[in-house]
Amino acid sequence: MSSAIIIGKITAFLLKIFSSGGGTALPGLIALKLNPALINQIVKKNSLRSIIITGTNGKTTTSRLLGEIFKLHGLKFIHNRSGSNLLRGIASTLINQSDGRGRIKTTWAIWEIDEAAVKTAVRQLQPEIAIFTNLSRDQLDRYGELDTILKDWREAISLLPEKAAIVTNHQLASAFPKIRPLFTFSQHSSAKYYLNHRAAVKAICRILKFNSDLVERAVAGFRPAFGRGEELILNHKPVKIFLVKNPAGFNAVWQMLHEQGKLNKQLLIILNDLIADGTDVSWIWDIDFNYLNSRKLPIIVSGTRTNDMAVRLKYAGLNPALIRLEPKIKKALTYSPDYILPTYTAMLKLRQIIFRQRFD
Amino acid sequence: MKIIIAHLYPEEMNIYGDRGNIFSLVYRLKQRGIQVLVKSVDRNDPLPPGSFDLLFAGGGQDQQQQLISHDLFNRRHVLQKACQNNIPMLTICGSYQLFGTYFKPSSGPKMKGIKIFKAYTIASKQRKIGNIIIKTKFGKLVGFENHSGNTFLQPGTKPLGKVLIGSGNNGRDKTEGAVSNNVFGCYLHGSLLPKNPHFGDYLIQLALTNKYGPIKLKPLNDQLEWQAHASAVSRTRKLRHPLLKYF
Repeated sequence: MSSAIIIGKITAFLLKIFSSGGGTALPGLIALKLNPALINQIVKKNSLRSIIITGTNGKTTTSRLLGEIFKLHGLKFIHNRSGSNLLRGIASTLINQSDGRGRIKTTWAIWEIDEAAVKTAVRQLQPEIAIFTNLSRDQLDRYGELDTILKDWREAISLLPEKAAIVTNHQLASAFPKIRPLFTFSQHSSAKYYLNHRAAVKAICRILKFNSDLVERAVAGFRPAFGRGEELILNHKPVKIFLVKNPAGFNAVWQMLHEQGKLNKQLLIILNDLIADGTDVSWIWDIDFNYLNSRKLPIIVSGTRTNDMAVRLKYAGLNPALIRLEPKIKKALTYSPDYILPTYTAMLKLRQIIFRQRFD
Repeated sequence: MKIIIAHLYPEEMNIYGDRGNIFSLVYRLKQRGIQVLVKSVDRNDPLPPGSFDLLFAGGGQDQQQQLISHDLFNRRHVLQKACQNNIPMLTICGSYQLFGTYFKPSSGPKMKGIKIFKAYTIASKQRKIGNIIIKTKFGKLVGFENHSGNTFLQPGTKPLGKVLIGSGNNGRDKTEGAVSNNVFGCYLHGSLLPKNPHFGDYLIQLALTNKYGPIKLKPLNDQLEWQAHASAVSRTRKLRHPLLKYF
């Protein structure tokens, strides 16, 4: 175990010197090649109590909200960064948090887990609580079909420790085997999707017998993660960024903007098709772009699949003269949008740009 | 002039945004001042012979295919007759498979097809996922394939095109899709017609000619569509570069 950890640590150190960020999964990837059981060994050695969070939407928000509540209770925990939610990301986090002999100072871990990695993650982490936020079409080009994921999740549930609890929505619960205690919440749709995250977190807090006042306080004061609607400053102007990665998520954001009367603002949509976005962009045809017929303001379109999104907007009824194509993200930002709807890698790029300008 | 489009199983058979094909057909007809009516045909809905000028059916998961296969089989005489009458039809992925002789999924019973294409499909372990470009007699078509089924054409049925980049029908013989009279089947999601406007117009032309005699289509401003076509082709070349799999 030690040699894999140390080589992982050396890799992380070298990456820190030679790379400009990114590559956080590489130490874990190499360490797991040397010792495929590394995660489980570290977990066992430290009797690490894990909570895993998976699902199509809301992993990051749910885990951050849960983290806030842990902090309010004075509980230390380790967690992986969103985007490092495959096994290698978990291994990287554990390597980073442990000493050369694999000892970790914290008792708790909160893990975001990629939908397709749940089974192996459960096997390795043996979590106490597993949260399945929801399941909808997302990056189907990577996962194949929804049925395949659901089958994987069912198998993962059978691998959970006997005392483990499951938190999920009613709909998914009906598809799960009833072999572990199930805590369910009703699913909210469209503009109120954030209520799902709260409901999931509250269920966990009941399981852990947390102080309900502290829970309410954390929920009330919660600031969303980057790309979840936080107000930021870009070119000296406020802007809100909403990550969009599948039709369900896109529709929710669209509906919310409509209900808040913000659809007549300057909008920028960025569609990328890199591996982390999903290389299949056909999902944009499943978005319900309502209210575009009467729009008078342009929509700026950007990203590696700018032209696909432009055609989508045209067929959704937007006057083609109002479609501005700016494949380069930096150039698109010169339009000073009020709202930006990026896919995953486009969001990372935005974060980089906005973070840098603070030092200009 | 008026065109009636039958949309088969819009609920069950629309997994990768295949409804974009309907949007494209409707837009292109309306822009030319042609009336258009889309008839959604779900299980047990009536679809009398001669009641449609164009037909579209999209892709679905194995489970959804299982759901509709019986209903589709019951409609075989109507659809075979429409094929003989040169009615244009476009079928994608799951529907394409069931327009052949049969589809054997990885689990569950073999599904009987309606034999418009002399072709059979057998599920394989290897899922064929990625952008795809094919060469056809109408020009290049670009889309996105995502299927585990391997389709094999039998004598008497021609492919829709030859695979330039991607896997196609079965990943082996470089064929993609099938043609029988004016019925076309293929694995191209994306959606297909919005960024392949020439193919959409070809289907429209066939439908109008059937109904009203020879006709010349008014050209449309397809600048955005062709840009999307060109950029999809260049993304495919980039993402499917043989060296990429090492990263």
